[in-house]
Amino acid sequence: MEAARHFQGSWLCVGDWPAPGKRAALLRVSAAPSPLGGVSLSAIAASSRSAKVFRVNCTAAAAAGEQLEEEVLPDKLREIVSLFAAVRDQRAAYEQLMHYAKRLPPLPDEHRTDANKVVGCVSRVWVRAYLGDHGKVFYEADSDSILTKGLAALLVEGLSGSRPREIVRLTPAFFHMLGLKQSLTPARTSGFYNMFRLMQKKALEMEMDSSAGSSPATAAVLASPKESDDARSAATPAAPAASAATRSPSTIAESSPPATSRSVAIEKKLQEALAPTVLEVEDVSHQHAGHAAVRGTTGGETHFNVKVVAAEFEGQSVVKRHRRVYQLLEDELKSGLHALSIVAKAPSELG
Amino acid sequence: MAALGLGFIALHGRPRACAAASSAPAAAAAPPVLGDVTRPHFPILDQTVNGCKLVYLDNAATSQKPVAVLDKLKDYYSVYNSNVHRGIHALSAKATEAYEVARQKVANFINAETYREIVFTRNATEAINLVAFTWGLSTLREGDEVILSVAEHHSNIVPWQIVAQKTGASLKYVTLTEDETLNVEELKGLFTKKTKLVSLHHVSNTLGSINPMQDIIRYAHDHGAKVLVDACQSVPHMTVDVRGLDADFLVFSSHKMCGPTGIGVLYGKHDMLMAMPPFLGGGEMISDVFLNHSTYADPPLRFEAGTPAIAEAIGLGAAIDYLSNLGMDNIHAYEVELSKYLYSKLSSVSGVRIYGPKSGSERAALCAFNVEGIHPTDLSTFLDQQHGVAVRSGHHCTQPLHRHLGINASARASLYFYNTKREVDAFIDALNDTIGFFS
Repeated sequence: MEAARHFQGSWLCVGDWPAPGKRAALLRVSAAPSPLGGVSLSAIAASSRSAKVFRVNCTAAAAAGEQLEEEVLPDKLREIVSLFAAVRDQRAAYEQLMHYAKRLPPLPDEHRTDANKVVGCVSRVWVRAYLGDHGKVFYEADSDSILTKGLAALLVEGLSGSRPREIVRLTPAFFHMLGLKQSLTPARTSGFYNMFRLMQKKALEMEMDSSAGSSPATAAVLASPKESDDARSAATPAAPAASAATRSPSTIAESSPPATSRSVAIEKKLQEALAPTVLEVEDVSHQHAGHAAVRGTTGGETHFNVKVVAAEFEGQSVVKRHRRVYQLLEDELKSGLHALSIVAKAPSELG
Repeated sequence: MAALGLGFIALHGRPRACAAASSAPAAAAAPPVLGDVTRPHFPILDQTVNGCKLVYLDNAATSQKPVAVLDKLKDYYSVYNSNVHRGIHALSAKATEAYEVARQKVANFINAETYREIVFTRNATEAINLVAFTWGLSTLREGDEVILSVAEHHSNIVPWQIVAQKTGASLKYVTLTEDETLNVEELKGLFTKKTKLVSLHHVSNTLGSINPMQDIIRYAHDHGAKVLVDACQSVPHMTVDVRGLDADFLVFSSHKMCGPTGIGVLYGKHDMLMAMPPFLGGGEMISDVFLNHSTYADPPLRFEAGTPAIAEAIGLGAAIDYLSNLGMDNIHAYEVELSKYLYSKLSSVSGVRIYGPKSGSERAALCAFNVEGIHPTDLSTFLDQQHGVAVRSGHHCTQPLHRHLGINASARASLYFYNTKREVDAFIDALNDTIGFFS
């Protein structure tokens, strides 16, 4: 609860920032040990009561909108945003962008790789990230279009020197506050969005590379990011502009807090027996608290969602796969695990 | 400019002047040109965009529609909308007649021998696909050759790639002369005994070049090959005579010639169409349907499955009436003037590089160009946002051509008979302002 109050101002909002008044979609928080480091939100996730409070806070935060964003913008970005917001004339806004573009040093050819290319831009844009002192992320960028280069420069100056977790938890909402949207075509706006998402993705990659000892489950989860299938939130589709390449920061599926014994045990057993390429174990017990079957069972850990992708499943019927999983988790099922929701696929079946 | 830290500069507010406003209307003494006469027919052109008068110079992408066409569309839906061909009742009879009259108008417009040679499609792209997937799949064998050019629109490349892959035929691409026009000599040299088809643009949407289709077709026929003419940029702007050209196939779209979107035309010589298997299957294109087989209608209906775009066809008919009323030769003559004016004004702006032939040989009234040091997208953004001038930027569906020219993208201004020299002036003024800004 303490953590919830402390982090009330900082949500990881997945997918599009909602319109004012609308509930935020798919609010997910990575549990510790999270690659975002240091943020012990797992305690909240584990308990059903906090989870409910968590959700209510999120709705209120969505309505609060801009005030919320100011709290979480890195300092430099916040200054740039407020300076741009004050520019009245559209032509002046272009001049400003151009000035930014001119300040940006050109990107050496060796960094103009496909991995650094922003997908879905009307012009060519490259973004490169590297880790500097104290685990902070620094960016370099370039483009053959000067207005796009200006936008890239804006992001580079605004985000460089921040920690990965600060960058990853940002939403693109600050773009509205720049006041540039009406000065740029929808194609360019979506290009800016894609640039931003790529920079977030790269920040996350930096963090992943540098953090040691992530649990196998978390690492596996992040290796194959997908839209979370949390039943309790209404999922909104990813913004049409966002390409697959830039989706990962916003689609970190929740893994059960490894601190709890049962989810660890489940993961361990499935990991050892199946050597899966993807393994996601999610404690959704709080959704079922109050069910007749569960009443009286203490400590939660009664309902789990399991997604597992393993070569062993190739050619097997769904029934057979599910039987296998149940068989592996026999002990759990006998000792209070009430229900498993299983998604079991073979590697060739992933979309 | 004072630096405010964080890269911010103290900006001097400059009042913005729209380029279109500053180019005043011509003196009353000058006789009205086609652009002035027709302007009132196109109310859409009479609007402001981003605070400036709209200057619409993207006609190669799509054209505007005159009130006559809009009225005809509304008329259809308000008065006699009904499904065609099978109905007996009054509305259906009227709709069918209007639809088939439109077909006859198209036939007359391009001097086809009979209405049976006119197939309505969704657009020119679909028309090319129709030929590729029916004539192409049934005629082309492994080792056969199809000649295209590096300057083709994607719609005249991709269907052939797909069909070539399926049949084992191969594609050959003619390149350009130094003049940046189709290299006709090279084309002639590409013919072999295996050449079955030549599929080429009549007028290039990027280079503005006009190909000698009559000569090319004669040469192709002498070598036993058929010819498909992509007439998307020619039919709207000049008289095109399919029998004069002796084209085997010819395609064009309604929306580039003052007609509605959603309808295009495939012209095919009657004997060619008769020999082609169906494209899409379903109602309208059949004769009799049994459980284990069906028999097919004769062309053109054989290639028109399902309920057609009835209103759109009638709208195209109305567009043809409108254009014929103005006179295609008048339109062409006016556009030749406009083309020369556009080219000369644009080429006199320093740093501008226009693609395609110099103005000596006839050019279509369009210019794809680049300005040194400025990305075409920045250019067109600024032209639009600051001056209301609408041009296109990108690759104009001719990526291979752009690659051949060694560029990524270009900007393109393309005119139609309702544009005026004044608008060209406005464009040039806006361009100068844009270049000044980005330099």
